[in-house]
Amino acid sequence: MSRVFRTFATPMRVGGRMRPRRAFLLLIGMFGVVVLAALGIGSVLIAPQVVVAILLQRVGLELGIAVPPQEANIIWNIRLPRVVLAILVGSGLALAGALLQGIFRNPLAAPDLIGVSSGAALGAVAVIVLGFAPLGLFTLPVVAFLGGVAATVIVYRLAQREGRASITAMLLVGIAFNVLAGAATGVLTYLADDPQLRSVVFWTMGGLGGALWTSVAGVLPFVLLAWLTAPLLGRALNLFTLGETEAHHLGVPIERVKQGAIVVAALATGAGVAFAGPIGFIGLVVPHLIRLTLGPDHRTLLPAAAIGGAIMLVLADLIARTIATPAEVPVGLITAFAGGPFFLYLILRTRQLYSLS
Amino acid sequence: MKAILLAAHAVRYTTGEHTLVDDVSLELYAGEVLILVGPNGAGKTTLLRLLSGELPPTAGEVTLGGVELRHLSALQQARQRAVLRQQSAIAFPFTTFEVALMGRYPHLNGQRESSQDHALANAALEQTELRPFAERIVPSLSGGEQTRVNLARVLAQATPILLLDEPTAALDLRHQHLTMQHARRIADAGGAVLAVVHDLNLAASYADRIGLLHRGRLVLLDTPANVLTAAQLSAVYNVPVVVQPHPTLPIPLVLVLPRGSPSEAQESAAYAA
Repeated sequence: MSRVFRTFATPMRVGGRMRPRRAFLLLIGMFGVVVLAALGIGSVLIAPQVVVAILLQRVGLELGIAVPPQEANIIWNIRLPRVVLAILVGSGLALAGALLQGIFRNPLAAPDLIGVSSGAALGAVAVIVLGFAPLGLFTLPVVAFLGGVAATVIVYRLAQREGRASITAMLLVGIAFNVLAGAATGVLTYLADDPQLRSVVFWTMGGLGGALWTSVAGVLPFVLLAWLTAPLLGRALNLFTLGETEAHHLGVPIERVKQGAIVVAALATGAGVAFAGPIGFIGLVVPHLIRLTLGPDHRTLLPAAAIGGAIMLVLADLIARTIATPAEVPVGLITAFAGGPFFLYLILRTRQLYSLS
Repeated sequence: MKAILLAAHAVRYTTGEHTLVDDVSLELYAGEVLILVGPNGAGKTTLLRLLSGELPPTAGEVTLGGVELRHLSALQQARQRAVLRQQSAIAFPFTTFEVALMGRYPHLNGQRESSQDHALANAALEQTELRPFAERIVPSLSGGEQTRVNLARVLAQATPILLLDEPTAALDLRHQHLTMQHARRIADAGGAVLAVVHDLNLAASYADRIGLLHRGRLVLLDTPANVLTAAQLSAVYNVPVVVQPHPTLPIPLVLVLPRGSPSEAQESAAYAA
């Protein structure tokens, strides 16, 4: 009987943790492999060495491998922007998830909780259904982004009392806001005609199909901001683990850390959702997975999650566009189908740690 | 005259229509262990939260090293005083050593932890007898062990002032006394400790002064012998109490009489008369 329980229990010691250096080498290796695979696989197969030659040719390095111009064209104009967008969006989502789990002190927190995704969805669906497009093709991502960020600002403001944002209040306000925004999105969907409905449904499932270098340029500044800011918050987030009050007693400016983490998470998620639609589970699963292999130290967790998120979305997108060729499956379905059971497995394995048993 | 490290000046704390702490003034001197006692809901924890800056007082002010708390940043406060709170659960699977090392945060100035920081964290684990648990994951430890991990973190913070809210509640006898001995040692080295303790005899053994709180007011603040009297304690705690001299130490020994015992009848008769 006790043996049964023991297999379910978490490891008591840290023997299972991977050394950070090894883990980062492994992550970077996996990243390289996945990116090469994503650039090489498609309706036209391109060998990895040719992919490398094409990439290096641009920066002026000749490998002495013959590069067919048509293949270079496919890489530069079709596959690379899509892969880079997947890297940025996946990285931003996972980083946002790790930051929010840190300040919420809860491994189940995700970017959806603070209203970003539902706010962005409301904006996007409004653009599709109401058909206004003062910015042309860019109307949708811009409005979706603004919707997501505005939603977070509203949730944060409502959860504030006497200059302090209560994390529990934020969680509850976030849930209420998600319901409201979902209802408004539902009304708009109800009003939509058939082609609009199709657009709404496809947008809601998420996808990187429309990736252009301009979309990369749209997401890059916000994800870059997250990459640069997150390392500054790592140590403070570790102290948040002890509790907000404990962190304050140890000298952490807790309101500033919370604001910083929420702003960065909202911008990175908002930009990602704006160009790729709501892609679930990456923000939730990736930080969780990293924590299980590397331990909970945010100084390694944050950068590792940033790489892990990129790997996961590039891989999911590769599967999405190759599993049913010539058709393309929405990438959100892939992350949900892979993420759901995997997350369930993680919860069952670690239930004792989070006293869910 | 000893230096005043921490002081409350007529602090009051009100939520809604309840006054949880009412017009309390006290001074914590360098070199002393001051223990707050009182029944549940007397305002001990609230007073400690006011003194630690967790709650802003509704009226009055708290000063740390002579400066009002609201003029000090969290970091400036953290370099002078460490706080052990009553309930504190860790959210992620950090190890005992990692949590102890977190106590060094206010002294790091954004740098990585030095070998000296590691040494101080290890010393704190040594003091709390947690060295064998250094690599254990904190959420897998027992409640009392987790309290000690937090105490180790507080000791590693190495501040002159310690504010401890029921540091001994979850501990076994040995560690209750070890904890109070650490408090004593820090005070003897020129620091000061203010602790909330329920066990009156533990308080009597280590406190220089005991503050007795009742319904938000500090009714007495004096030496253990002057505070722990049968009349005072019976009235505040509303149980029959006898106080005797300790068999081996020059301190009072507090005993509670069980209900219905012959001596209780005697005591209450004497009390009524």
